[in-house]
Formats: sequence, C-alpha cells, structure tokens
Amino acid sequence: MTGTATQAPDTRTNRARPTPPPFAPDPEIIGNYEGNKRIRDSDRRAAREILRRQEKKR
Amino acid sequence: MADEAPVALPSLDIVRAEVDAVIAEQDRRGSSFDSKAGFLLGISGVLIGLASRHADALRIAGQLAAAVAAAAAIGAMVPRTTAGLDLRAIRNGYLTTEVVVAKQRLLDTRIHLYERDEERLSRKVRWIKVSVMLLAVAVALLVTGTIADVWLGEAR
Repeated sequence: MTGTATQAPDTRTNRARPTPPPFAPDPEIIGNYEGNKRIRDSDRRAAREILRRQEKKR
Repeated sequence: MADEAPVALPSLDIVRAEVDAVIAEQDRRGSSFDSKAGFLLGISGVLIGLASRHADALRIAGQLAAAVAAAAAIGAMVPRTTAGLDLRAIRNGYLTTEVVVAKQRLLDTRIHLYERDEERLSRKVRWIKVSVMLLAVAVALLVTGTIADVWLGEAR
C-alpha cells in the first residue's frame, strides 16, 4: 500500500529522495454527511477506481 | 490496509497542514456560493413580482427569464458537497494501524474528497453563472418593457 522506497532524483534539491507512496484513498472511511448516500457511493466508487488503477500500474 | 513496510514520510505533517488549510478555504467557498445562489433566488422572486403588475410580451418574457434564473439558482444550491468521513470506520480501521500509514491513508482520502468537491463546486459555479446571465436578460427585458410603455404612451 505504501510503496517501496525507490530512489528518484529530487529536482528541487538535486539529491535522490524516496518516491512518495502511491495515492491511496480509503473508500471504506468515506462517510455519509447529511445522509447523502448518493454522494457517498459516488465518492467511494471513484476512490475504488483510483485504487484499481494503482493496482494495474504495479 | 497496509500490506508493505511504510516509507518514511518526514513532511507528512506539513502536507497535512496545507491540506487542512485548503479544505477549510474550500468550505468557505462552498458556503459563499450557497449564499450567492440564495441571493440570486431572492432577486429572481422580486423580478417576477415586479413583472406581474403589467402583462405585455416583453415583461412576460422577462418574467420567464427570471423564473428560469430562479431554477438555475436552485440548481446551484442543490449539489451538496462533502461526503465527509465515517468516524466509526476510521476508528475501527486505523486504531491499530502504523501511525504513518494511518496518517497517509487519511490524508489521501481527504485529498480525494477535496478533489471530488471541487468538481461539485465547479457545477455550482456554472449554475450561478447561468442564473446571473438569465437575471441580466430578465432585467433588460423588464427595462425595455417599461421604456416601450412610456414611449408608446407618449406617442398616443
């Protein structure tokens, strides 16, 4: 989930730095603010899609 | 959730503080758009009321434009923003998770929600723009109707 600490050139400091872990929102913790299930489900679906794309990249 | 050893994220708190600030600013923008939409709805109601005193083609057209502007203002108010976070799910999912992993997943989820809300706010802004344009048309039609009335009255 958090990725591996591979080295990538740091363009700001010109030093190698670990690449950040992949963007991984957790669909399970997306809530239901003001009881709007449609928005919750839509946001969860979008988060799952991001995770699926991250999985494919690996 | 975490299936690999976490990477050290030394600047996680700095990034989180920035995300907090940007999300707070997004909340303010959302409230301000809702207020604007409410104001536009009020103005539309006033214009419809003003136009109903005289029934001629221009004023009826102005009234129609104001009614559609009111509908657009309601359209701007309807899209709710923020699904928010499920606190119970956070508690159950992250209480025993590595600190850095928990912080990063929560950060990523909040950024995801921020991005989703930005799309919804853009829709709000589009509806507000439509409402403003239609109100401008309504005002132009009502003023033209009044000028035409005065002009025709003098001609008679």
